[in-house]
Formats: sequence, C-alpha cells, structure tokens
Amino acid sequence: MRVLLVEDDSLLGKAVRTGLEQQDHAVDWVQDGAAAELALMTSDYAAMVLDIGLPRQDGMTLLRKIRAKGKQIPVVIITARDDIADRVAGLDSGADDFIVKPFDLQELGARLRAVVRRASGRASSDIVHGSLKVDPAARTVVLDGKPIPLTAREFAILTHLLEHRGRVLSKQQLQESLYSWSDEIESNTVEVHVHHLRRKLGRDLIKTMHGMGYMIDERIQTG
Amino acid sequence: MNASRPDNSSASDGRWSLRTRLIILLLVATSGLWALASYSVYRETEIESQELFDDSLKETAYLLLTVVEHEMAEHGINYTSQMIDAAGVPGTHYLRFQIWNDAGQLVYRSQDAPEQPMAGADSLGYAWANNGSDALRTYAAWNADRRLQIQIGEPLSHRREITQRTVRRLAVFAAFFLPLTALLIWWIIARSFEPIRWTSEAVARRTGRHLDDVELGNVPREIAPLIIALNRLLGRIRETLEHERSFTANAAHELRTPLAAIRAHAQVLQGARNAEEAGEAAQDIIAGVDRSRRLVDQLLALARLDKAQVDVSPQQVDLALLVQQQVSEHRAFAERQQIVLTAGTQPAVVQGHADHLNILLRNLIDNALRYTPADGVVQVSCGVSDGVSYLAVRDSGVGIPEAERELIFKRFYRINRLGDSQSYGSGLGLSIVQRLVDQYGAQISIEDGLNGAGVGFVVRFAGTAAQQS
Repeated sequence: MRVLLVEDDSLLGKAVRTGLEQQDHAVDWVQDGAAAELALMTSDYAAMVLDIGLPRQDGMTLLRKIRAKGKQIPVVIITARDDIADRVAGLDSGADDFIVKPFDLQELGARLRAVVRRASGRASSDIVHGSLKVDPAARTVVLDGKPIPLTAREFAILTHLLEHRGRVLSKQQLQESLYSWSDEIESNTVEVHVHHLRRKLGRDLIKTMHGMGYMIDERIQTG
Repeated sequence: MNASRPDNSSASDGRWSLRTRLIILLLVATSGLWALASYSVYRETEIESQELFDDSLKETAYLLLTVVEHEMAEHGINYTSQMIDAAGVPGTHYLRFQIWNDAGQLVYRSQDAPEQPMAGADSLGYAWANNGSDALRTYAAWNADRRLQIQIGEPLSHRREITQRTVRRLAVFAAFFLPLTALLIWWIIARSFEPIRWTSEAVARRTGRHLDDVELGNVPREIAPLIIALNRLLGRIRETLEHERSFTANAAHELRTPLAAIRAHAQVLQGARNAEEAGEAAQDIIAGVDRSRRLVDQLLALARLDKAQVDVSPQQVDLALLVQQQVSEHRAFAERQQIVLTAGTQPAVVQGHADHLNILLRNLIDNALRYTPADGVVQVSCGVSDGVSYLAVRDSGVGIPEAERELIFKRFYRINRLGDSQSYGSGLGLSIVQRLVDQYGAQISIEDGLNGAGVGFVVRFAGTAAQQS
C-alpha cells in the first residue's frame, strides 16, 4: 500500500522510508506539516505515519487540521514521549495508533496494517473472499487451500481491490497505490499485473468495468 | 513549649535561644527594677517615719510635761509620781522619761529610765543617745516658766520594728507577684514566638517534591518579610527544579530520535535488498551514532556549565588567537562541506577563560557550518568597537526567520532546512552559547549574514571585566 511518511528528522525518515519499502509499501516522505497537507490533497494514501515533533507546525496540529477537513486516512503517530498524557493527546487528536521511539520497523508495519484493516472494517487480519484467503502480514495468498505465489505489485493490487470490495478503482488509483513519487511508473503496468492475477486466481475474481477501472464484487462468485 | 519540634534539634544544639534570652533578661530586669523600687520606697518610708516618730515624741514630751506640771501644782511631787506610774502614758510603754527641776535634780523618772540625764545636761531638742546595745532617740524641753525639764527617750529598735514591718509586707508582696510576673512574661513570649515555630515547622515540611509557598497566614509584620523572601527563594528553586526536570526529560527524548534512527537503519541493513542499500544503511548507522555522541557531548558540556562552577581566576584571553585556532580546527570540516571559512581578526582581549570562550566560539562556528549549504561562506571575526570587545560569526546560510529568532536559544530547538543528515545539530549549541554569554555578562545579538543571506551572531563582552574579577 501507499504510505505518507511525515518525519522531520532526515536520518530517521530515511530509515523508515527504506524499511517500509522493504515491506513492499510505496512510501512518500515529507519533512514538514505544510508538505504533508499538500501531499494529502494531491495523492491518495492508504495510511499516514506522522512524527508529532515536527518543526514549524507540530504533528498534533497537522493531525487536527486534516481531521477537521474530514480526511479519514488511518494515522500512526511516532512520538518520543511515552507518558500517558502524550499518548492520550495524540489519540484524541485523531491518531489511530502510536509507536514510541525507538521502535521496530516490523512493528510499525504491523500497526500500519492494523489501522488500515480497522479502517476497512475488518477485525481479523486475514482478508477472506470465498475460497481466497489473503494474509497481509505474512503477504501470503491461499486459494482452495493451495498457496499462490504473487509478486509484491500483484499482491498490492489484490489487497487494494479486496479492501475496497464493491467499489470500482480506476487504473490511476491502483497505480497510485503501487508507486511512490520517486518510482518510475511503467506504462500498462496495472493491466499487466491484473492479467497475471487473473491467470493465477481465476478469471472471474477481478471484473473489468470498461472505461472506469477494475473491481472485486462484494458477493462471492461461484463457478 | 519545646514539644514536637521535628528534626531541628541539631540546629538548636549549641545555639543561643532568643526566647530563653528574652525571658531571662526580662525577668532579671523586672526583678532588678522591683528591688530598686522597693529599696527607694523603704528609704523614703524610713525618712518620713523618722519625722513622724520625732513629731510624736515631741508631742508626747509636751503632753507629759503639762501633766506633770499640773499634778505637781495640785498634789505635790510624790503623788504625781505615783499617779503617772499607775496610769502610765497610754500606748507609750516603750517610752522612758525623766523630769528634772531647774536645780538639776531628778524629780521623777519612769520605770526603765536611767538616773543620769538621757540627753546630756543642757542639750535641748532632739538628740541621739547611746544606751548600751540600743540607740536612743531623745527629746528635751523646758516648761513655760523653765522650772521643769522633761527628757524623753525612745529606743531605736522600736522604730526599726515598725519600718521592718512595712518592708516585710513589701517582701511578701514581691514574693507573690514576682513569680506571677515571671509566668506572665514566659507566657507572653511563648505566645509571641508561636508564629516562628509554625514557620519553622512549615519550612521543615518542605522537600524536593513539596516546595509550595509557605502560607503567610497570621504572622506578624516582623516575620512576614522573612517568609516573603523565603517564598521568593522557594519560587526560584521550583523554577530551577522544573527547568532541570524538563531538561532531563527533553534530553532523554532527544536521544530517542537518533536511537530510533540507528535501530531502524540496523533493521534496514538486515533486510537490505542489495549491496548499495546495505552500504547506505551501515553509513547511516554510523551517522546516527555520531549524532548521538555529539548530543551526549553537548549535554555533558551543558551540565558542566550548569554546575555553578567556581571561577578560577580569570585571565586575559586573546580573542584573535582564539579565532585563528578555532577557524583552523574547523577548516577541514568546512572544506568537506565546500564552505569557505575565513578569519578576520583585530586585536581584542577579554577577561575570562580560554576554555569557555573556545566552547562558545566552537558552537557558533559549528552552527554556521551546519546551516550553510555548499559554496557558502562563513566568516569569523573579532575586534573592538565602541570600546567593547566582540566576537562575530556570520554565514551565508539558510538564515533564521524573525519568528524563530527567540526560539533558537531554547534547548533542543533545531532549524532543519537542509534535509541532510550531516547537518544535524544537537539543538543544544545555542543554549550553551547563551549560558556562557550570561555567565560573562555579555550580550548576544542576531544580525545580518553575508551576501544578503544567512545570519550573523555577535557577542559583545560589555562589562566583562567587572563581571569576572
């Protein structure tokens, strides 16, 4: 999924970006609140990682601002302070979860998945769709009890579509969920990945809505 | 009185007590004044009563003389003596008297009167006569036709007895009232000292965690200034402690960021997808450790400055020499950053310590180099203007917005524009500078930088000599 990282500290920011990329996320990294607001306006993110100790505009203010605008994006805050008052303030400002410095990158990844999962209304970490079972944490896909190997991009498109079941996602949207600003986008890449997914998981799972994009139906197709 | 005074017994050991001293002094003074007053009253009474006794002696003498004269005219001398002896002179049993005729013969004498004249042969009026163990007050007078003379005597012991009765009564009075006075004095002083006891108890209850103001309450005007001064001190202590606490907390939190970065880079290294990524992560781990070390160094430097240091005697420090040393120390770093670092020195001297001034200058140069991008200029200079020595570090760097100029001297405040991990400061440099500037009674101002960009820090050592000597 595509994540917005708001971290003023260049050393830490770089590490978190690379770490999340290693977990196959597309990461856009900005260093202050103003840039973060701009990024949120122009791109679509699955989640945001926010350091609340930003210069100029502190993270808490930014968070309140974007919540006031009605943005529903799941947010995990990074804080240097682990006293309860700070955590409460962070959560009350609209954060979905927090993580205290120094933290484990795997844990940050897990918390991101968890907030995204909760935002899409699922309690279990696994996404189950008929005989298809997707584990976002382990990044495994099982169909009819058989593990199906997927590439990172295929996996990203599949989970993105599953998380928005019943909604049509445009090629543009799917593409944005795959790539950060720094990635070079290959043409026709979404079509190629969807083609591969259909080959591996069956033709009927992903529907093509001509001129609009792709979707996975809420109802489970049999046969 | 000395009930429950917690743990200040050590303080009261061997110290003189105002209360005890007051009680003793007041008691001594009161008793002394009482004694003096009693003595004067006694003396006055004695003189007064002497006159009274003399008057009554004289009156008695004339009365007796008249009686004797009368009786002798009526009944002759023998009857008279019997009559007087039988009747006595009422209330005068302590008196003795003799009646002499003009031929110098003793006509009559009272029972215990001697046969010799009591007051000498021809002395009239009052006199003192010796009468064995007891002195005798005598009075002698002739009757109107000078045929009979009376000599009357009153023993001194009688007079003494009467004045002594007065003194005894005074003594009883004193014996009763002096302890009462003492008790009253003790009670009044004890009551007056209550506020001091409350205050000391209230102060004794103060601890590092409990530093509230001592309540003024109902303390008298004499103690209030002490409590007000104490509260002011407590306020300052609270401030300092709060400052220290928040500093410690901030320091700990500041260390978390480089630690988080190191940890994250280590994980990136573990999961590195290629050699390039691994190499970069390793590089960044080193950068993170360096940054932590700088932060720790600065914290230690600040802690050393914070510790109220006793100044070893200040010396004349040559600023020009200092600038040249620091500039050459930083030259290698400046070259790596592709920054031109120059020194412009004029002779200038400051009373102080080279160590302190080195820390100050190093932090200013460090800052300038960190916030100046490649191809920039940093100029360090010193000199004397308007009779005041100054140090100046100017750069062509990112500058400081007006709004942030007050904030930058705060601990852990960082301006981060360059996005380059090499440029990272600890956020402590300027607060160390500020601390030193305060210690030297100098002023620091933020002025224009170079080439229409950046910023200049100028430290003016006005009044330094006075401050440091």
